[in-house]
This record gives sequence, structure tokens and C-alpha cells, in this order.
Amino acid sequence: MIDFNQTVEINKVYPGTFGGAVFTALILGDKKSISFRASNKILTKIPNTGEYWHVKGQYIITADYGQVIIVNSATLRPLPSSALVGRLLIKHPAFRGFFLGKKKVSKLISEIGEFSLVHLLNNNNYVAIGDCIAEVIAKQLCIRWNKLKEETEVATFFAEYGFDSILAAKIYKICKFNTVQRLKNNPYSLISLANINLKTLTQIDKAAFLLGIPRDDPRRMAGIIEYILYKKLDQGHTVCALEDVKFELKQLKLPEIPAPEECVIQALKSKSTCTLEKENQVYLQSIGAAYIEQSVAFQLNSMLSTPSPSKLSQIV
Amino acid sequence: MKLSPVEKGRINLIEYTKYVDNLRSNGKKFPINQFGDANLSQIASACGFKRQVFGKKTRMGKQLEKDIQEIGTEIDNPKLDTISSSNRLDEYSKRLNILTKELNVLKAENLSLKKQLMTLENVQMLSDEKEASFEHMLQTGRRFVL
Repeated sequence: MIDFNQTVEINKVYPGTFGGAVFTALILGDKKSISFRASNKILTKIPNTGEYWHVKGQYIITADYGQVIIVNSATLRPLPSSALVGRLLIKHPAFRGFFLGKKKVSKLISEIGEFSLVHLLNNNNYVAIGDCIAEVIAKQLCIRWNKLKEETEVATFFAEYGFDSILAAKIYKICKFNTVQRLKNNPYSLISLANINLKTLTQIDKAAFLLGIPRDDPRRMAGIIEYILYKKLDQGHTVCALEDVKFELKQLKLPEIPAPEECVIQALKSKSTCTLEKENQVYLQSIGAAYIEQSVAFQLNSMLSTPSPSKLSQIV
Repeated sequence: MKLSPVEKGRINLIEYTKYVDNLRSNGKKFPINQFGDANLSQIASACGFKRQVFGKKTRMGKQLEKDIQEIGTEIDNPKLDTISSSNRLDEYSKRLNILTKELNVLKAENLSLKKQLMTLENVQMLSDEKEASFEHMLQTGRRFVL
């Protein structure tokens, strides 16, 4: 079997009933369309016409469809070149339905230029684009462009560092702007979204190291403490004794873990963790669990302080 | 001796033709009234008949209309008019300058408001993110801050 490993432009998509899809795509600079078949386990999302995907797979020959590539991995990629912006705007379904057609796209390209148009779109500068086309359309174009850009950047980041696509979907639900830049600044924030297991933590730690975050960085120390507390939370413990946290920290199979005391201090400083003192014992608690517990306690107290109907009758 | 209407008409036409020829030979134009139209009373008295002779449907009336189109009417007090026109032009020019300045100010204001709107939209996105993050915290007990 011949291997395939290239970036392609999606041409037509036939989504499967249970996820996955069959799609045709063009290799960049080639006019010949190729058929691809991808299962739901491979695709993080159904591709759209006009998008660019990096596909790895193998050629097979089928009786009905001839040469088809069975996809082993597929990741959404950003626009390979500014020169292709026109094709993307004309083909992608995200840019349909708000009076932006071929004529307006070619007007934008002829008046602004491909490179500058991409720059303006990335900067969400619909005011400048509004000089060429109606501002309402320019604004809508910028909104949709940035949404797509965000999605593409997140997908690329997650593919680059080998994270689970489900994690990408989770973060995309919460963060809508500048996500990748902020993730690069603190990849340990993914701990609160990811499945709590050592494999994920190791992956996050590896990505952080590749991104230039040192082993003794306060973000790393706070992240590790958060991981331990979330692990305990998954086991049903909303608080964890300080000694237990230190013990867990020593058991972790991560490279160059700083001193437990320092990690706890950094976690407290980052306000991701708080302390609870009871019966001469110091406990650590994640801020989320603490907030929920405090809210529940407050509600219970207010309910208890309200006279019950039986008492009311006595008062009356 | 009383003249017949036909005779009167012939004399009127002769007088009118003389008047028009005189205008043409002296390079003059038809006089105008206060509304800027041809002064029929003045023309008629110069020709020695009444202004009714230039009724719209009459032959003389039609001839007059034709001659006005050909010769034209004079501009009343041309010196004064030139002065007032130049004054008016100055006024218009001043007004135009003021309006252009106002337009530029409004354009700048509009641009700054649009920029503010863009900033507010970003703030709105941040606020939406905080809300989603808070929702996630309430559901899972895990705080997500990016």
C-alpha cells in the first residue's frame, strides 16, 4: 500500500450517519480530485468545503470507487497562503448566507489585496473592510472569519502537541478568542478540563516544557497541586489533608518536581487552591469545590434560619 | 375713423415687428418684470397697444414667445446681481467650509465610536467566557482560568 501524507483542500463532503465522512479533496497545486474515507474515530469534526486538512493515510483500490485513501489521521490546518483567501471565502459554508458572493470577494481582493485582507480579517478590522463592501457584511465576515480561525488554531495546537480532540472541543466551548496564545502562556490550565490521569498530566507537562515553561515555574507547581486535588475530587474528596497532598506529590512520576512546600505556596498564590483548618489539621481544597461547598452551606443555613410551617403556627 | 379688427391686428403686427427689429439692431433684449419674466405691459405700451394682444392663444402671443426664445430677456440691474452673486458665493463657500469641518469631526467621532464598540464586543466575549467558565466550575468543581 502506498502512503499518503499531504495537506489537501476539501472539495466535497459526504458525512456518515454515525460520524466520520467520505470526502473528495485536491492536493495543493493539483487539479485532480482524490477520494478519502475517514472513520468517526479519526475525525475530530466533519470537514467543510474549502478547508485545508493535513491527511495521513494509505491508498487502496476499491471495486466501486476506484482509488480511495483510508485516512489514519486528519487535522484541520490554517490557510496555507494568503493567496488562497479568495477560494476559502467563496467555498467555505461559514461565509454563506450574509450576501457575500463571488463578486464581493473579488472586489475585496482587487481593492485591498489578499495579504492585507487576511491581516484585516485577523485583526477583526471590519471598519477598514467596510470601505469596500457594506459594513454590516464586513462585520459578519470578520465574526465568521475569527470563529473559523479560532477553531483552526485550537485544532492545530492540539494536533501539534498530541492532545485529545475531545479536550479541544471542551476548550472551544468555553474560550472564543485568542485561545491558543493564552494556552501557550499557561498549558497547565488544561488540567481542569482534561481527564485526570497521569498520561494527560505527562502530556500537558511535556507540551509546557516544549513551550519553554521551566520545571520550577509557578504555573507548573500550581498545576500539579490542582491535578492532585482534582484526582481526590474524582474519588469523592472535596478536601485533602496537606500531608496527603505532599505524599501524592512525591508519588507522582514527573520529572524534576519542586519541593512540595513550594508547590503548595504557588498553588495558594495562584488562587486555584485554598486552605481549610479543622481540629489542628490543615487541608487543601480546590477553589471550585470550596465555592460550591460554601454556597451549599450558606443555602442550608438560610433555610435553617427560616421558621418551619409548624413553628409558624405557634408564633401566630 | 374706427379701424376694423383685422386692420388693427395688421398695424399691431407692424408696430411689434418694428419694436423687435429695433431690439435686434441695438442688441437689446426684452424687458422683464419683478418675477424675471418678459414684461408684457412694457412691450405692449412700447408697441402702442394693450398687453391683452399677447394672449397665449393669439398669433401675436405665439410670435412673442418665439422671439423671446430667440432674443432672450434682459437681466435686471446686472451690476447689483453680480455683487449679490459673489456675496452669495462667499457665503456658500464659508458654509461649505463649516460643514466640511463638522463632517470631519463627525467622521472622527464615528470611527472612535466604532473602535469603542469593537472593544466592548471583546469585553462581551470575555464576559461570556467567564460565565461559561463559572458554569463549568459549578458542574465539575474545577476552576478553569485561561
